Amino acid sequence: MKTLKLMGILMSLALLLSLAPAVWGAEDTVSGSFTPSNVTPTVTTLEIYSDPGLSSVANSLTPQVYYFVKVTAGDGNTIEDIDQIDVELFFDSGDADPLPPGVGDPQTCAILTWDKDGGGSEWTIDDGAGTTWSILSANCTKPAVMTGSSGDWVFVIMAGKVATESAGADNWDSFAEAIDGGGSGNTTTRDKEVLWYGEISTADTADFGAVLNGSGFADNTNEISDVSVTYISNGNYDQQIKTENWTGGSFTAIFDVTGTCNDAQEFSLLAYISDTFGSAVQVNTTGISIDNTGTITDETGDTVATNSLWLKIALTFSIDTYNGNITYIIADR
Amino acid sequence: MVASILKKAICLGCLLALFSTVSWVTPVQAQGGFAMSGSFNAQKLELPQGTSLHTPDIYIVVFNNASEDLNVKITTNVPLGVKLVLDEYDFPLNANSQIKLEVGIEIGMEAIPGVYKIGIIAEPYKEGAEGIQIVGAAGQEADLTITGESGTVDVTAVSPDGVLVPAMIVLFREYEKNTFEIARTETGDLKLTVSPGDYTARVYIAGKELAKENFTVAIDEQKTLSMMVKTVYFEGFEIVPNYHKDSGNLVIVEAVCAVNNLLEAFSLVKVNLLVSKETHQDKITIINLSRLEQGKMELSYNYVPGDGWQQGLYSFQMELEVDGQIYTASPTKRLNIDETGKASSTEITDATVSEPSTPTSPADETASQINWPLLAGAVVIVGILIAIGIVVLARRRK
Repeated sequence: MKTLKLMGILMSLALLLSLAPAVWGAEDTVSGSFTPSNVTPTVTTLEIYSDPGLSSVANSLTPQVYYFVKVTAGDGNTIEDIDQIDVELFFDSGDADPLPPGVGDPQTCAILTWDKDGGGSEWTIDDGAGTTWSILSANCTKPAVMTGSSGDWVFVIMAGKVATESAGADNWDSFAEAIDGGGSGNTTTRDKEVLWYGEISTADTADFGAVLNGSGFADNTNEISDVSVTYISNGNYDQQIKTENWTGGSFTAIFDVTGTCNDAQEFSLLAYISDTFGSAVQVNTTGISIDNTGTITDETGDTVATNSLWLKIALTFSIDTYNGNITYIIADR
Repeated sequence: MVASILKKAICLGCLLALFSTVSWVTPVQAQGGFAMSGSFNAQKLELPQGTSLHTPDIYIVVFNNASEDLNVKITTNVPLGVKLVLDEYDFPLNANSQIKLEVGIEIGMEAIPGVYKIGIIAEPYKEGAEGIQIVGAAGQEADLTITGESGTVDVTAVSPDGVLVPAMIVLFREYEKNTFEIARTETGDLKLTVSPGDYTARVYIAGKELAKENFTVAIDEQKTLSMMVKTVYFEGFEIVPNYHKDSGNLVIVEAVCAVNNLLEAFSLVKVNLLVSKETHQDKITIINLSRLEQGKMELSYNYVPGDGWQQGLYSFQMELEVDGQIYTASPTKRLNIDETGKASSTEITDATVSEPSTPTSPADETASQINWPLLAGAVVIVGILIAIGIVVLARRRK
């Protein structure tokens, strides 16, 4: 009887121990030949920073300034399994949180791509071709070690000149997707601003020629009507003009903002976007609008080639060669 | 028509030749690609008399996209008692370069409460240029409201045990659904006089937002805010089902994640894997550290339930203990086992897609080997026990 009991205990113990591999499996000692599933990657972080140290989150983007887009992606099969990371920066015109458009456009969308097998084109940008969006491939970074479960990819990019302004509206969203052989994971970060950008250039020559003392402010008198100015902007803009005193070799031309030019050495200017004298406005020293209807342009800009100026000078005005500026201004509105 | 215009031109030329007294020589220089951007124009500033505002978030950027070097003069347009403060007002700017200038605003006590437009114009010029130059400049305007009333704000970032954390605090003014940064500090303590209104404070460490709070400041109110931040978090927590190569049955689940410590080191840290199914929960300490240093640490653990895989929904979560207290936890991941004992789907709580139920990518296949030493050991022990039993039985029969 005693023997039977002992046998029973021994057999139970043996049976228990025979199960040991399965129970100890919870301690990382599973037997058998097995295969990990191909877990689809995840994107846990998508953020834009203004510094290469990734310490300062950029809530707004200045066109033509470099920013750092960080994508933290993970893959249970290690991040070596990730083949491609795509980031879309896109304009959400209705603030309706839409899906990314998937098509590059200089005003509304840029698509950034890291391609593991891209070779010389590992880091690329698709902005609708030939625009001022830019990726600084040499400064983009990927995880130094690809054997971990997650890592950071950093795209160094510059928004184009006509990336739609959304100041005060936070209407730019970003979308990041990590892709491996079995699928993809993504995340979206919404509500960034793109700030107003305004560029101006003049490629013109103008000459009032010889001007009579006491003359001016009449149609076709002391008039220039072909000043060409090109405006590039990503939002609404105002065309303004201003001037100030002009300096001669011996005398000073004093700008008269009233346009009367009653005193010696005074001069004044009228201006408009065409040679319609009746629409001309009095130029001042801080900037007066000559057209406040400008809206977003394409990358080549809008050229106004018929800007006109009318000069008036006082009756007493010394002969000299005067130096000074007539300044056309692009201003936000 | 042409003859008429020509006639007028000739007449005008004759008159000018006869009566001209002033020579307006204007060899106008071509100017190209001068631009401005920045956040200044996006501001709707509301500041009390006698205060100032200096934040890196209010700035302009001036671009010289032309092929010639030039000089830039900055002019401002402000009401009485208001000053726009820039680091530079007159500076050279090389061809194809840009400069960022922060813009501070100072409101004197003499400033009159009211609503104003304030402006900045950047204007290029060239030394020694002769004649009347036509140049292109760029400008921005911002809205400014000067108030006669104010309150104060004192925001601090603290750890869960109440110690001041040297984090970046950024204070935003909420105004008509828009948000404007008005101050920031990297010391973890921000004190400021502000106009009454709605505000948001955000706390960042290493660029990661760790806390956010909205609040309102009333007239003469002294608002004090203590914002708790957790500086360690789980990153990339995933569960990877591993299947038997032949049967396709689930064998183990590999739980992987990184623990990211953004700031200071912690003592007595444990990372636990919590696996729950219905009312049962396993809590497995997968690492026990006397000190968790700053930085990222990868962790991996192969899990098999003690009673084998059962039909039902398993939930997986990592938690981090500091000195016996739960500090933070990962998102929860879920794995569903069907009635045949196979994992038919993996449901994940965050923004990822579901998993295929069987191995799908031969390239990812990393078959593990049977643990032969352990199996052999078990067989030997069983053999010894049986042998002992036989010996004992034999002796009893004698």
